[in-house]
Amino acid sequence: MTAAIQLKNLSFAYPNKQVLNHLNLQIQPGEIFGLVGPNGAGKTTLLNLIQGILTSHDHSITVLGSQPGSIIVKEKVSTMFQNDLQINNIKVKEFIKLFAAQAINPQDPEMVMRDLGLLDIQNQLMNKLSGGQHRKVSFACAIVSNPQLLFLDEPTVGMDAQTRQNFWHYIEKLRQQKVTIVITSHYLEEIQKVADRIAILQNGQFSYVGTWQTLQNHRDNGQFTFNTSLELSLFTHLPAVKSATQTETNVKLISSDTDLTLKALLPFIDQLHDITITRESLESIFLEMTNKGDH
Amino acid sequence: MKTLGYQINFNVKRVFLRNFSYSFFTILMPIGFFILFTKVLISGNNVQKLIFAKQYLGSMIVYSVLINAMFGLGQIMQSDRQQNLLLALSLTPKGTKYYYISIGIIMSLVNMLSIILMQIVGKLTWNINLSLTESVSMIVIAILGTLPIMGLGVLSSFAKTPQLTSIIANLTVFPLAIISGLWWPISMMPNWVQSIGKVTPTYLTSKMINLAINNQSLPTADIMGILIWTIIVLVLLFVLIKVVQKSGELKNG
Repeated sequence: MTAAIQLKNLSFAYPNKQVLNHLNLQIQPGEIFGLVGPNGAGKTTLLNLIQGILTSHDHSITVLGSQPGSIIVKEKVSTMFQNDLQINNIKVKEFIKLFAAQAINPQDPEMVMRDLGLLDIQNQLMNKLSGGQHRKVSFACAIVSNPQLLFLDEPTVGMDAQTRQNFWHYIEKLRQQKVTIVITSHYLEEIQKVADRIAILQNGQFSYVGTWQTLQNHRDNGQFTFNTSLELSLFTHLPAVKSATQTETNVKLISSDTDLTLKALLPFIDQLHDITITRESLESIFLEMTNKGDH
Repeated sequence: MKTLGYQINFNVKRVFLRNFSYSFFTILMPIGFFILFTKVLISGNNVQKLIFAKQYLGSMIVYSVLINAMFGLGQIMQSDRQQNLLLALSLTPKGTKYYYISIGIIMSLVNMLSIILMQIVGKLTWNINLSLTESVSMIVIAILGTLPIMGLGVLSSFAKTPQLTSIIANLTVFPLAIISGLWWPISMMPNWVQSIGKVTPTYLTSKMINLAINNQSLPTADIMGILIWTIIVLVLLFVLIKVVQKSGELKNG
């Protein structure tokens, strides 16, 4: 099966700065792929290269079996940009219909607006929309062309909780339709929930590519949180504790072996309240990995 | 054709029908100037006034196109580039070609509308009678003669910020209008200013419109002048597009 996206030893530099170094990656059709990394890691440059906005002359990228920017790719790929298009004097429905008119095999714009709950604001001018409404319209413009491959750059920024939930619900619908989706987001818990695999891009290189579960299992880290009046210093040197932080009476410990740390906490158990033990979140793994990489 | 039709519809609504300030500055303001300077702030006998009104009609037509090019076309395209509309369209299978064609068509239609309205105002205020041939000749001369000016508008749209585009527009429109005699007769200027003014595309077009109004033939030198300006602007545009494409900011449609 042809990969949706294939990178073979991709490197890219601006005239005065090397941005990407020897990247290799295969994203399979129908996969939801999360691309995360600190600011300046090269995410936007990578997405621009894959979409054909920037050009790499070494043929190290193929998208749906073709070169980025080719007409075949343009027919099947769509993008929701990080920054919404602020077009004055145009209504929501007119804007979505523009992108339908630019596509070869578009969906019915009315149906897309209905599915995304945009019918109520279809006659509003674009420059009167809230941030969350703008994101929804940008998403509608991206999917109205019926893409096989969809890029979502910070898709939920500015959306309220309800809209965000509906948005991810729609992404699940696209997953069932086997649409390949590449998402970048600073909301790592959302990526954790929806992505089949993730890549962590750091200083122009992938420091991890794989499933979230594999990363979590490999690290086997756990997180303890509890309230106590005891000093933080009592916990910092407990076995397997990698980091300990305190906010007023609330203590948070990251442990590389939860069994070992739990046993060491037992002598204090009477003075610990509201104890929770969770697996380490993608966010804390990400922060630890990227902080390490930065130093 | 359907895509082009939709693009024209989309752009007409946002650029013209729902944008009063654009219509005001491009069409109504030059008409207002024509009435003000030929009916209110004018002296002399009726024959002299009529001669001036005929000449000023051509000047205000060119001024209208100049405003449309620099404050309309330039700023619309700069804003669309800045807002990434052009980038978003360039990533679609039909690209940006329909966008550019539709903007070109709309700008030409606005110019034609402005010229026709100006002719009507000329008829109503000074009873300037133009035959159909003269009227059509004026439109053709105004549209073709101002091609380099429209090109200047497109060039100004490549500025990095809307503020810079606006500065370029202001620094182009007003000095050009003054030195090419669009606001008041060029003969009032010092000789050295006149010699610059007489080679500008705005002066050449305005002069040819006046010749057409008076049913006189057009000098080959003036036509060549417009042709040379058009070539210069097209070459500049070509070079600029290549430079911007190389920097990755602009994609081929």
